[in-house]
Amino acid sequence: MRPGGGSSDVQWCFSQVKGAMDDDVAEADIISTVEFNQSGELLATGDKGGRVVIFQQEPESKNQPLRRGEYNVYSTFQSHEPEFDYLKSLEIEEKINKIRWLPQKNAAHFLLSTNDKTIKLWKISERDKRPEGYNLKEEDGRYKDPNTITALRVPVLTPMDLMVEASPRRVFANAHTYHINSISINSDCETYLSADDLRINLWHQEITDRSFNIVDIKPANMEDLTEVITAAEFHPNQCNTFVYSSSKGTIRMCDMRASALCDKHTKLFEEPEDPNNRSFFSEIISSISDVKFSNNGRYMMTRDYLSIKIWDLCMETRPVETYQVHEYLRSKLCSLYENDCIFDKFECCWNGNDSVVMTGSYNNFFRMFDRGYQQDVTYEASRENSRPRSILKPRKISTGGKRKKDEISVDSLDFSKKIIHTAWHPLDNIIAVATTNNLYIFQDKLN
Amino acid sequence: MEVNVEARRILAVSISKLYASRSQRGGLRLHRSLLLSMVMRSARDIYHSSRESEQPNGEQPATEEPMDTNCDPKEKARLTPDLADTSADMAPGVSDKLDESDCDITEDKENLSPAKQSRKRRGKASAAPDFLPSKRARLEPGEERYAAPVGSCRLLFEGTIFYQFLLCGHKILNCAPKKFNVYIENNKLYQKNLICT
Repeated sequence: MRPGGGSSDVQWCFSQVKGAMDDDVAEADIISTVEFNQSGELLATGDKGGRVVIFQQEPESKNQPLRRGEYNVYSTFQSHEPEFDYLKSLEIEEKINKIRWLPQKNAAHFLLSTNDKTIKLWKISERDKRPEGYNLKEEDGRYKDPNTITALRVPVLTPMDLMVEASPRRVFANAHTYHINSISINSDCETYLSADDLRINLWHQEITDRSFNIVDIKPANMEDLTEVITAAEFHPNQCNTFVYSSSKGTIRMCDMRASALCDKHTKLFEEPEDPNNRSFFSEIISSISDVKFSNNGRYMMTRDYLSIKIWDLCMETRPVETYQVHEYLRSKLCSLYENDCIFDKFECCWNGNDSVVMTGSYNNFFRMFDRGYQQDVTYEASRENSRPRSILKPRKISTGGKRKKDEISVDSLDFSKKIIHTAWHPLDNIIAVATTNNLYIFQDKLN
Repeated sequence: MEVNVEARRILAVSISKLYASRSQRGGLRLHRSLLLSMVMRSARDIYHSSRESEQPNGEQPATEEPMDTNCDPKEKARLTPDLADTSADMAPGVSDKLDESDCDITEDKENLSPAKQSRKRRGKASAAPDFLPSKRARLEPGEERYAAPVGSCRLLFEGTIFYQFLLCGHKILNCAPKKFNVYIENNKLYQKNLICT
């Protein structure tokens, strides 16, 4: 049995790959975030060049009922531009750090995208009709001479080619001194939070000129700083609850009903460090890079450099499950420090029914852990596996001396090929996995 | 001894990373700088503890000797005993963290510790640092003085990670960090070729 969407034997197949297949990767094309919307119909990616590309799933065709629709480009727009902070003589990168979809309320779609300093609310809407037969204007838009107008008529809406427009509706700026690492939309459908290294702000989606600071861990003297905020998220259905993770490997849960400033946590999740594993780099590898609530709101998952931990929200003392992502790297931390890989911030995600979790690794590997069957599997996103509907073969890494056939030795792993961003369709067994500049879409084989 | 060598190597790598991060787009990343500082502190602690275990009589000079900018072989022997003192000095300082501003030029008004806020003239024995050098910087042979525009003081602010670790690296690695174009005078770190008038 292989991990997948639950108890059935899931086989993952290649579906699509997006992006240029050149070996020469332009830095602007590096994917920096991936996010499905709540229905899974839309898949958004952000890149280092500040662009957002949205893919839409085609409806299932009647001719091929057992094949899911493909994802094709729906809209592309420039979300953020590089800016310059003249006061501090610092460039502000246009890289999109996070995209979060708002729950859909009408025909248009809304998403929040953020770079290091500014969050923007984008409206993506379709236009497939246009008015024709104006009284005062010609067809090309020029105004008619009023003296020539003798009759009155009502313009009619006529069909046109589908046009998808993206327009910035709100810009939430100047609220963060440090670099924004997270945004999270509240289940109240009105507010959202944004978090930087030292502070978390609460915004109303309609109000751009002010926000409320709800967490501030900046010490009075910066010399006393020992930890920073690395990620933050609202609870999926309790609108008063959010969590934030730190560089020290702790997670704090806060209740906004307790006080205006949530500096005092209601719960502190922390696992004592294993003294046998102490090294120069213990602090770095215990820093949490991502935190995600489960869909049912009972658990949360954290990702640190070497492992995934699942926490029961009712138990603060230790995680209920721990999965080693690439434990064979523990003996290589010094090299990974030198080549900067130890600073990589891997993300993680849940599947729709919280039975499987997924995260990325090096050599374009990604890992899935089935919580129910306590099984894990490693797959690779590569061009070699990119034939349509080819079944993904599990990969094995050889850690001992003797390497079996088809196993890859740790020393031959390519650390420049890493999968940082992954996303799982909220309702279906479809996953999106981002390599450096390509987006791979895999789905389970429908029989 | 191996631990010693490893600690020094990690320290050297860390310093170069810290320096390189100053020029990256988007400015210094607080999280990364914090993690680098933690590694460097571990390396420094291990280096010192391994050195102490190598010296069974535990000789440590009681007073801090002034640093000399000339790193010739005669001076090197004098530099080494300073390590024990400067580590005690730096213990609170090593947890200094970068403020959001560009810390090697601007003074961080927000986070001045009480000792640093006073501008009162002090005696030579005082440990309170000056923000501007009181003397013209010493030049190496062959260097010229360049007039610096007002406000381009290159005393690297003592409260920064970068300052502390260049100082630490200088002492532990026993070399003038020429790569970073800095020198040390009166236990302060200066960048060459720019002076304050």
